[in-house]
Amino acid sequence: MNYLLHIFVMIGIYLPLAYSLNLLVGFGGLLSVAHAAFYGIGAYAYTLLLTGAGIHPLVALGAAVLITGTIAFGTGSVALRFRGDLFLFVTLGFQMIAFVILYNWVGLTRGPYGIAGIPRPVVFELTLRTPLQYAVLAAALNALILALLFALYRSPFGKALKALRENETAAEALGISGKRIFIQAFMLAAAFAAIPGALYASYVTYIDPTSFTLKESIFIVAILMLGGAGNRIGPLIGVLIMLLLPEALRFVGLPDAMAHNLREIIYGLTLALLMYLRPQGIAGEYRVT
Amino acid sequence: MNLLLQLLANGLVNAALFAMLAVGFGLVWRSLRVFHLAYGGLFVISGYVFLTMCVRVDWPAWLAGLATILIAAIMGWLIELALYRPFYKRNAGSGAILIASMGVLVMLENIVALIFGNELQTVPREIASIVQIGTVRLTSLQLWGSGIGVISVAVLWILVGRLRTFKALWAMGDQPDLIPVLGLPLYRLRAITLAIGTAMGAIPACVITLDLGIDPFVGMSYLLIAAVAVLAGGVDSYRGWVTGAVVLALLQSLVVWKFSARWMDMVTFGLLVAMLVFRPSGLVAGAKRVEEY
Repeated sequence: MNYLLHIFVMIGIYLPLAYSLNLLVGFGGLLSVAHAAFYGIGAYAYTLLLTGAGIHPLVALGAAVLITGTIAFGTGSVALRFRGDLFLFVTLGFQMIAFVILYNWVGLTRGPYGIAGIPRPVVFELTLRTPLQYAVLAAALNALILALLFALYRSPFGKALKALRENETAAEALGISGKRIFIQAFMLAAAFAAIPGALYASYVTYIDPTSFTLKESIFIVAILMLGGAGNRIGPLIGVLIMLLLPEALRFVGLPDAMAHNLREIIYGLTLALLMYLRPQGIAGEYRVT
Repeated sequence: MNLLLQLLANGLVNAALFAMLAVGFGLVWRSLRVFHLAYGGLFVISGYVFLTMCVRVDWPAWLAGLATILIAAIMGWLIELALYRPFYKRNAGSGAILIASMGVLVMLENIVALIFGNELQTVPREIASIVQIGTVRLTSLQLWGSGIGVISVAVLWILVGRLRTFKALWAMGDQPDLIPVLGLPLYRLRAITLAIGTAMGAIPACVITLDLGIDPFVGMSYLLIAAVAVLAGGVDSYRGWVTGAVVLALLQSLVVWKFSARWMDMVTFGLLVAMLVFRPSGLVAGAKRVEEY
């Protein structure tokens, strides 16, 4: 039972990550591989505020979102001078730099040792401990975040992003400022990623920089590529496949040493085949160009 | 001061290795306009092929190296056949190809891991003799590696400048549709590019395997080095790739000298971002607008 709840919580962490990146990748058409960096910055900001400043978890969460959004403003304004492949390389640069800083700024982040013993969040006088309580928390957070994001998808803002994705020049001729809308989308995507970061930190109660590597960023992008981006159903399918497939393979009875590698082979092969056969993913709307 | 000289010497040795990596990567990027992530996977396979020939077949290093380069060229050819050509025929966008290439990278690395195990493996060899030049000490292996690097990069450089095939490759990067019009074999040129590019990448793979050993997941880091060198130096010129590689290697040495090796990636990717922002056409290219890419 706890095993199922654990998977449920992990899905609850990856859903907001996929849906927030969807805003940028699926709607804006900008492929970013810096999402794990913002996820990590959110996790670290939350943790440090909680353990260092000792403030209430909810306030810490809010502050973490603000901090991540601010950092995203800085990185976004540099990265968004580019489109297409060059945008990808700049975000790649930021992802690597963020990792190096998290890993080596030992004074602040304790570097490779990680931060252990992150206090459990207290909600209405109740300290959350059991997986069931976390599952409820994850569900509640998801309901909130996804509602907000879906509203954004439907809003004029979401439509403007789509217009920019299809043809930036034409959209600007209609009075949509690519510069402004894109930077907003970049900041929103990053700020939303901070929330699952905080959730992850408080659930595992231990964070270290290796959870927020380039590989993780690529994993989140792969979720979107596999499931599909640019609509509301694609990321869900992507998250379910990418998180449940490894668990399903666990029961096939492969030797442990091989299971991980086989899983990665399947994942790589699927990605390559899918890009050829169906570049919009299984249920997506946006085709990668 | 001695330490600085030593680190600069190490930096130059690395520069030769990075230059080979960058040239292999840049050639594919310039001619096919493909972000060749699978290069990292081919690098790893080359390393393991070399390792197998040295350890299991017990060939001397030079023979194993030559065989590895040959096999790498064939692998590059196969990658073009199996991966990039179908995408080209379908007229896929660069993003789709990039992600497919990444999928292949993940796949190749894990196939290697499945066969050889996840651990670092080394080629057993006697301790390399040390050559002393002034106050700088280098191993004979480092000297051999950088010598081979300088020669192969220089030879290819001359060929690129003189041979008609390479001019066609350059033209292919700009206007692939015009190649058949000129009566040139487009698909063969693409395959040749990948064969040469992969063979070029196999040389540093052999040297690094012999020197440091290899594990299945180093592909990504060497790929990123090659990509940063090419981007920083300038995508459009051979001179740029080599310059980018040298600058990157020397900068990394300076970081080790001034701060510590842990901050190396910071400089690598700081250089990438700074170059893209302030000089998107690269170190040695002429002025060009971003829109032209």
